[in-house]
Amino acid sequence: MARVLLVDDDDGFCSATKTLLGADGHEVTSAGSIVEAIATLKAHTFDVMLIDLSLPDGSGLQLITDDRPPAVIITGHPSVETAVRALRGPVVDYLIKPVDRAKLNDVLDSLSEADLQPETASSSVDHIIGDSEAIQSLREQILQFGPLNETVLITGESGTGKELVAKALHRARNPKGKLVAINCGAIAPELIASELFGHEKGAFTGATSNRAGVFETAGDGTVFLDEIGELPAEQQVALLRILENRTVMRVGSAQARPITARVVAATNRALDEMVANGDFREDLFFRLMVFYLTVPPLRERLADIPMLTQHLLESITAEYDTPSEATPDVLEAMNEYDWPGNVRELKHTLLRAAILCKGRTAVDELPADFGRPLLLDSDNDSIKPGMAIRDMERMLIEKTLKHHHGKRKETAAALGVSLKTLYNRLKEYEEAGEAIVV
Amino acid sequence: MMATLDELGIETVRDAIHKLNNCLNTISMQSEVAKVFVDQGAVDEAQDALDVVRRECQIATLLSRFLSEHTVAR
Repeated sequence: MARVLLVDDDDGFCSATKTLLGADGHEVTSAGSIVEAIATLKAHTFDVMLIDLSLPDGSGLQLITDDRPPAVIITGHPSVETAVRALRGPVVDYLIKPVDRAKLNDVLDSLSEADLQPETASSSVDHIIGDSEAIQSLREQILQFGPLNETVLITGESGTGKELVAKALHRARNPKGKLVAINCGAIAPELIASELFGHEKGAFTGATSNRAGVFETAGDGTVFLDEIGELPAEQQVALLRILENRTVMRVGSAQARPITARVVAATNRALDEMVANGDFREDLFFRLMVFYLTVPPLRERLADIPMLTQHLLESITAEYDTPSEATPDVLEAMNEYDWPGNVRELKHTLLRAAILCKGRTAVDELPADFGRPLLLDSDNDSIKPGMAIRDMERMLIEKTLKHHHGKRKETAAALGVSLKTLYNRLKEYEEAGEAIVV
Repeated sequence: MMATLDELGIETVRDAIHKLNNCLNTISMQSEVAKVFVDQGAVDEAQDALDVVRRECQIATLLSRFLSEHTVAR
């Protein structure tokens, strides 16, 4: 995945390119002018710039300097090929509009490690937003532990941003390496060994070829084991062996393969209590606890709400063209709430609020359900004790879809799921004769 | 409703060629976008992309007619 800054004043082109690159796993930020691009470059780190030659405030060539990421020139004029090729500076390639998706990916894939923007230790924590004492302390700890090869355990309530911390630890040690994340609670118990450790062909029914597990795949990078508390007991033993011996054995193989990846684990559960109850191995617990970080809940860092709000609204604005600021009244109301769902709840609240305030100059009111995240209707008839999770999910999707007037992209974003997941659910309901009609 | 040449700000052959070039770029890239959405099963979004393609095709037809007429006139 490359972090791409796209500089072009053609909105249609930017939108199409963002969609195409996003589908291939790249992270794209766009800027419509040289001034905007310079401001964006100061605020964020990029691996490559895609620059249109003619911009409203000058030539895109002005952005190319040795201290900036390598550039790919985009032009609608094939005749400038020779001129572009003669340029000095870190120009990787040039592309002619209309840009072919395969060609675009070839260019990004061809960026060698040397081409990629070196990430400084301090820039690894850039994505962790906030100025509160709790967050400053967390950033310092990340910078201390990040470059080490040791295992780190991240604890914190759901929605606090544990994965973001894992990414920062990864970037601080080996940003060019792979970060392979696996959610231990989301994989069927019978498959988890194969996912973690890999398997040999014929090791079990369905193992039609050899497959590397996450430890081998990560290489010299990082393995992020999310929801480590959900790891089945038998896999806990195997994981302990890997951490102790730094070797992995694929399922169905007796060959020990050395691993160099660093392990970062996260959980929102009290592992010490799980150890006391016999639900988690004590030896693994202490092996994971070499270094540990606690991500503070949002209620303990309310001072960060204005900064987080601004950051989140900016990213929402980029996608939905909604207001990019919140009024002081809205900020005050958010500051008086205890945010049980943490930053994830804040993000979804702002998304709903921004969509509802579309067309206005600022987010000036919060959604009607603000402060009652589990209640969907004011008459509280939505969630009942004992209700099946599937029924609740269907109800949530139906209400959110109606709220967004049937717009599926916005609905998926509000629910925090991919568009494909939303379509899959709708199809399931349809096939079960329970189609949602909006 | 299809845009007119005036609404598109087309006054000269040069304007028309520039706009036609942009149209063709948009048609090509939005077709790719539609393909991506179809692969993802996102029917509505694919339809939106195809609507853009259709609109740009209409504009391209209008522009090519304008260009033919000017070429003949010369």
